[in-house]
Amino acid sequence: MIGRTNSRCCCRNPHRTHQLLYPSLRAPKFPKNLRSFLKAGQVIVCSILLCAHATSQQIEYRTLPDLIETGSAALEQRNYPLAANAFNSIYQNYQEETVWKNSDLPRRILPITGFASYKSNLHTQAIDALQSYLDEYAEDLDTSLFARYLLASSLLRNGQADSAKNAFIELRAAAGDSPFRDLAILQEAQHLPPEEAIPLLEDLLANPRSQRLANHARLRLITTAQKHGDLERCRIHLLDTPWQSHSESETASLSFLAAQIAANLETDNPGAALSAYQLVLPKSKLLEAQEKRIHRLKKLHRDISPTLTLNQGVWEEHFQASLARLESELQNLHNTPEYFDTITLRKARCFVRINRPIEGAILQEWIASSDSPHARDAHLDRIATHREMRDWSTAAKVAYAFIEKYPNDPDIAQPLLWIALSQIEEKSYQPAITSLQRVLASTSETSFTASAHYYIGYCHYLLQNLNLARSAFSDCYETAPKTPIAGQALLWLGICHFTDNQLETAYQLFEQIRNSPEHSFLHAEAAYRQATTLYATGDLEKAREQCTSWLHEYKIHPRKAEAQVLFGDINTELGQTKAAIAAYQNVDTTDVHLAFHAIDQLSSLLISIDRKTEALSQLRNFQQKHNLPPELAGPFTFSLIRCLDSKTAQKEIDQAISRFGTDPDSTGIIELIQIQQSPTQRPISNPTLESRYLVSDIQTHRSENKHPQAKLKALSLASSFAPDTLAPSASLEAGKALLEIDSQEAPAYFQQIIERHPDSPYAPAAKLNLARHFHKNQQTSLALATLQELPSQTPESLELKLQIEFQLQHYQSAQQTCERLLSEQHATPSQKALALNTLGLITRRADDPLSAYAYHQRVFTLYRGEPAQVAHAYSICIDILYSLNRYNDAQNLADEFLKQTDLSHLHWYQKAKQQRMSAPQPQSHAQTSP
Amino acid sequence: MHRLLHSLFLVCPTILLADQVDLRNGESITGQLADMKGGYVNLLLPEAEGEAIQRIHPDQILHLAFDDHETPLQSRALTRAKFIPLLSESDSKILLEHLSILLLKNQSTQALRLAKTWHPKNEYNTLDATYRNIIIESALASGQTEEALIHSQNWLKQKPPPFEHPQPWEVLAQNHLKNGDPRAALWTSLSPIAHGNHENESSLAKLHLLSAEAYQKLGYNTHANAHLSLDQHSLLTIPTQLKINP
Repeated sequence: MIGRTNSRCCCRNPHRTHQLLYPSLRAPKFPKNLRSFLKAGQVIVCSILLCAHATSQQIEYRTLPDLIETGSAALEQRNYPLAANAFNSIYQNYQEETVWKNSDLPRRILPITGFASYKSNLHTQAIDALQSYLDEYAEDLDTSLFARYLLASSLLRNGQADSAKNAFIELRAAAGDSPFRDLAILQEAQHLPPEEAIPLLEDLLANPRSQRLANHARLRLITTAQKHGDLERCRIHLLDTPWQSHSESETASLSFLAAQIAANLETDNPGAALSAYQLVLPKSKLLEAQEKRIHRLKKLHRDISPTLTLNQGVWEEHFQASLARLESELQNLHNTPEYFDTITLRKARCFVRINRPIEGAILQEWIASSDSPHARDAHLDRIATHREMRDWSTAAKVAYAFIEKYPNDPDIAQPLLWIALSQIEEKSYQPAITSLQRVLASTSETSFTASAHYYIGYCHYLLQNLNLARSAFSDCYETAPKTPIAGQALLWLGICHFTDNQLETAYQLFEQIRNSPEHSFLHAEAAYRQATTLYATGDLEKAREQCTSWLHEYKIHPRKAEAQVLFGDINTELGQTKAAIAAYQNVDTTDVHLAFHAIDQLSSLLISIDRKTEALSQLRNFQQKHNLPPELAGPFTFSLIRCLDSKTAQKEIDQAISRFGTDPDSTGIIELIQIQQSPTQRPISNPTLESRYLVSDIQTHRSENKHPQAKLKALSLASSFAPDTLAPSASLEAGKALLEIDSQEAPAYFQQIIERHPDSPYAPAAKLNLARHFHKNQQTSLALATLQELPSQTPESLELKLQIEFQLQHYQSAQQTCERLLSEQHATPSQKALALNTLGLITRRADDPLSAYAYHQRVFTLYRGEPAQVAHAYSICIDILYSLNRYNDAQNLADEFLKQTDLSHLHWYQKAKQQRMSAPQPQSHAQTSP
Repeated sequence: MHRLLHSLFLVCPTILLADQVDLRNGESITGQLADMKGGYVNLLLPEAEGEAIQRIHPDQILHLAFDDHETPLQSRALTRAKFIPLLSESDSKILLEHLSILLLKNQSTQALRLAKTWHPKNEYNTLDATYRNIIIESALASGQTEEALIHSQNWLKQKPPPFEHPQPWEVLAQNHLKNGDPRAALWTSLSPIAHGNHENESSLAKLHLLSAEAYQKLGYNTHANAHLSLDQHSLLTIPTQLKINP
């Protein structure tokens, strides 16, 4: 090598020198070209080397070609320290030499020196070489950008943050469309405060040079914004632009970042949180995607690495860094516990919050039925979701399933309460009470126990068990007196007393509510109820005063229309017609029934003061304003015809019958038929209307005591009409006629009314008769259950209930029913006598013959008109006396009984007669009464 | 027997004998893969090997390599179809490619017939969903909606259900709508939507349409419109009385 000159380089074979450092992508190895360069005889002899470095600290014995050879070989083997050593040595030893200055060596060597030094963490040397290159020798863009990037990175690693920042800025400015710009931004942003990094990254995203780097930048931006607490920015960048498929993006990073952002968004923006959660993949998919990504990256690296030029060597670094990060993520992923069930449950909650509860329920069911540790929570969430959907039966079903699955769960009170509430919504009050009692047995937490007591009271109220209702409401109040539910309980306590005609007590309770500041939300309601209570007591002046005060104080209140109506009613009773008319005229409500009540009262008043025209006008206005529902057809027509002459009235009647008579839900049609002067020609084509005419005929026959004819017509309803075409009134008549002849077809007619017309006034009678059918067919439990579904108990239903309860030996319930029947204003003597006799039988079973005697005695004392009951009572009393060994009294009573020969057809009479005949004459001094 | 084999050679004078059977013991045999009968793979050997047909038990076989890369897809598929349980995954995909082409060419009846024959023999879980989708699609394309429904229902019985594949859900939901049961249609169409993520969102478009139709029939127009629009997460009124998935 020594002695060779430069004569062969540059001038003759320029391509060879150019090939020194910049092999094409197809040309594999620049060291070979470098060796060619050496062979071309470019290099100055090593003797110059020896002389040139005489003053340096380290004597460099290697020649320039040796150094180049060593450095190149080291670079090829990625032995960066060795390469750095060689090239730095060249730079240090030759930078003053002509061979350096007059050639393009610096242009070629300096970038490599910088690169190798950078890779070897020799940052000072790297900076030196690269700076020198950029200052004096930079020509082509690619190498410049490469050098700038290395320089900036070296400055950063060397702790020269400000200089690095400036270097990156310069790189960005110079990069143009090169991906180096994006790389520079990513590096820079890492070391900037968020408020500087964010705009930089957003700039990149607005106009990315490399899509892959853009994804990195997007993730970096979201992470930075998240640390900066800028949730809105996180949301925008996470969600507003679609992500490429996970196979291309940073899979795990995106999933975990999305989960964190979603958790922060949940409270205020559940819709966005849901979108974010949908970016999270299950662990198995993440693992799969991550492994694919690593495999793909490794393959890419294997394929292109040998072809990378020096400039593209920075990608090598990026690849290595990416690979290391992805593999670290993969390892972390393997160690991460399963999380997707938590995410699924949160998604479900988001769905529910954005009012898409079905999707929420679907996900909750999925988790609840799995082995997930979140199954329990999912179960409870699912119950709540179905309740929100008002799907009471499913909510209850799921709650039952929860109780079955987690019988010892500490929170079992909640699902039990939900079950009860669902049962209440479905009007199954007795089962609801059972569920609520289970709540009380399962917990002592006052929030639950107070609620349980409250709803028990509510159910008892609806079942008309007022004593039990009062007791439960009182328990609720005592459990948690300061709570809102206690206020509600107090209100209902007042309502119970009101219903039971204990008006003074009711008034005081409402007053108590008005005086308690913690129940201020009930003050208006309590005040209104006080007004109604005063009205009920007949204290009309005070009622009017209260009502006036209420209307003044609560101008905007849901009860306003009712209060106006009440005010009108009070003034009507006080004879204050003008005030009453004004009150009714001020009633403004969308409740058509309340509006009709007001207009009905108003028209009555107007008619009473001879203002029929005005009354008619008011009624017509009402008719135009409100779409008359079928259940008001009859009542409205009756109100209207009061204002009309007979001819016009008949027209209205005909029209109403024609318009509403074919609608099974309309009411009052039969009454209209009965006052119709020219009935429509029969038979009528519409079966519903025809059946109504038949019912009218039946009622006429009954009023004329033509019962066989009435019965025949009732049976014809069953034989001549399809059941589903009958009006409810006709269906009831048909069912009753069939029940009388013990037909098994009777229930279908009653069921039809109950199912299709539950709000019809005939529905309670249908239930009562259905219960009678069950009782007749020995299905006593079913009969009792049906009776319990009645909205209110009548003497007839109480009578049947009593018979069933006694038959089932439910003596306590039977006793209560007896007491109710006895207090019923409209109970018949027969029913009261039955109640007394039953009380006697129950008491006698309780070993209290004297009380029993007293009950039975009242029957033959007070209810002489009820022969069967009287005879039964006599018979039992005689038995009681015999059992007490009071033979004289027994015989005397028997004689009294036997004197009533009108009872001789009854078997008790015959029994008493036989008993008497076999007994001796009574002694006159013997005791005659207990 | 030899005469028969000899005549076989006369009839088929130009047998291609470059298929390869790699055995588990490390050996490889070259010949022409003929078929699989009686539980054995039949390999036609070159005349030089002596025995004309070699019967190999599948348990001995590690890999089959077919030398027919230049032949049309149909021919490759039908050749491989004889050896489905022994095919590599890439060879198995050729069958599915062929079925897809048949569908594209509106030969849905044939696609259905072949798919139903090949699917039960498929060894790769990764290809199961593709088979099922092709079966349902070809049944629908050939007007056999009842059959499509049966296949959909069978697929949906899997544990876990295939939430990421919308087709069976679409078929079932459509059927519910046809039968006048919009509630059932709604719960069916919303199931994959609920379980969906951003990766498969674009494939759920038809399910959103079916949900919208079901909501409309149930009288929830706001919800229907929400499913028709892009903005799926706007606030809606609570749907009332929407009962459990039947």
